[in-house]
Amino acid sequence: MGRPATFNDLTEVLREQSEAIKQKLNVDRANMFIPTDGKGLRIHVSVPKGCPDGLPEHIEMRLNDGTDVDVTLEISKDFQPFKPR
Amino acid sequence: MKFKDALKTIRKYGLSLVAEKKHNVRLVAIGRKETGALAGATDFCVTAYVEKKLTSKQMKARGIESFNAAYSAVLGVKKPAKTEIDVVESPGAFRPRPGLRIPRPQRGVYGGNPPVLNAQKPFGALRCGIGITNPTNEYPNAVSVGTAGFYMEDDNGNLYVVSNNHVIGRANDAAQNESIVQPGTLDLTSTEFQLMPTLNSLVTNLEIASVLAVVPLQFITPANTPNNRVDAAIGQLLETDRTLDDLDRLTFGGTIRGIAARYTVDANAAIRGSTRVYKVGRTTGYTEGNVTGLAGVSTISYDDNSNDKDAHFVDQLVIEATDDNVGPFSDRGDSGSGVENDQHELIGLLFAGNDFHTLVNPIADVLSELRNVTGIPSLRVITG
Repeated sequence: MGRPATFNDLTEVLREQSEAIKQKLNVDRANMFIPTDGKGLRIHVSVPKGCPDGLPEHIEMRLNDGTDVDVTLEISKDFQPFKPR
Repeated sequence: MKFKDALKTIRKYGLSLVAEKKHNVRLVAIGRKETGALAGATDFCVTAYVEKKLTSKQMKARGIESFNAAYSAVLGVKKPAKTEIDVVESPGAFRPRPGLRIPRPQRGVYGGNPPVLNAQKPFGALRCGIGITNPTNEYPNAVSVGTAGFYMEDDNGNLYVVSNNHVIGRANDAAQNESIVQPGTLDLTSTEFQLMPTLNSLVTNLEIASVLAVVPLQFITPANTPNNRVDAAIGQLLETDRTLDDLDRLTFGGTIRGIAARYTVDANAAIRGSTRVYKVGRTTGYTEGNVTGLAGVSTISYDDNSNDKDAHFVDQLVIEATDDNVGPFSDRGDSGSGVENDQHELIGLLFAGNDFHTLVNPIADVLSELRNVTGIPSLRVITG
């Protein structure tokens, strides 16, 4: 298990590996961001309503520099596509 | 006359000028003969506010003295200089504005939303948060609207308006010099449609700017999912009859005071920086929110009927409306709004949303991309 991901790690993962996160969760649509509520570094992933229960709370991701990091996930089943306003 | 002389005159003689019924003066105040705000004026006058401006014959018939005569009599001067006094109409008596108290059954008559400035109407003085459209290849068969987010200037004194690419850049399809009109075409009244039935007539009457450059949206292809950071475009303001003195102003008051630094977080991912934000947009007007997410990632569909115009966005600010809002933080037509923090610093450019959240391009990325696509490194936001 890699070290806990820092904020910079999470931003790199989101910027470059969001597809990989979706694949690990076996979803084809998701919105993701880093919540800023001070309740811990994690990636919030909104997935479609019909997704099965038991999605992982932690995944391991490899950064560009080869470091493995443990990413905490917070899953909500309330995916709604964003549309241009 | 000088300000201090006008003030001295009003303080000494103001009561006498308004007290006499035959003067018909409701109020005297320091004003200026030319139209416009007092700010910046150097020549002032004593202004009388009357119910209605009357001819000499009408005044004689009603036993009313002209302000010219009243001023001379009260001050004991022969004849005031033309630039020394002014008369304006102000129908209706001045009354105190007590709290509104009515029998409950009459609430339907007096209650409801307060009348406010309408960001959808034509504005004589351009400002942030008003509706705009690029009507090319659309008007009059279709209408649309987005929001003018903020304005910029360069070292050569040129002025610009910024909104989204999908608003004034037609999602990459716009050519340079296409027209930008204000108000947006979706907000035209039926009379205005009749008066401006063609694109030419619309542009002749309502054009405020022309497209200068867009930050190209990079759509997803079977082979590639490029990252987008901003949905932005810029138009150069044209010389029209619109006033350009309020470009730092937000439609519902206040001015943009500066540019916010990028958000950072502490070890627990508690955000640093002012996260209470607001925006002014064409559709939902003034709304307040909180930045609740950073580094937002989502795929946005720019065409509901096809997958050819899906764009993947990274590094977005995520905003939730506060409970004090009547509705959402943003809605369709608010695209292009500038978003400010509670220090009145610009934090980003609004471009997308769903029922829960609004996505905003970070302002540092917007400015960097605009300077890049225009080739104008001195481009800067107009602030107050």
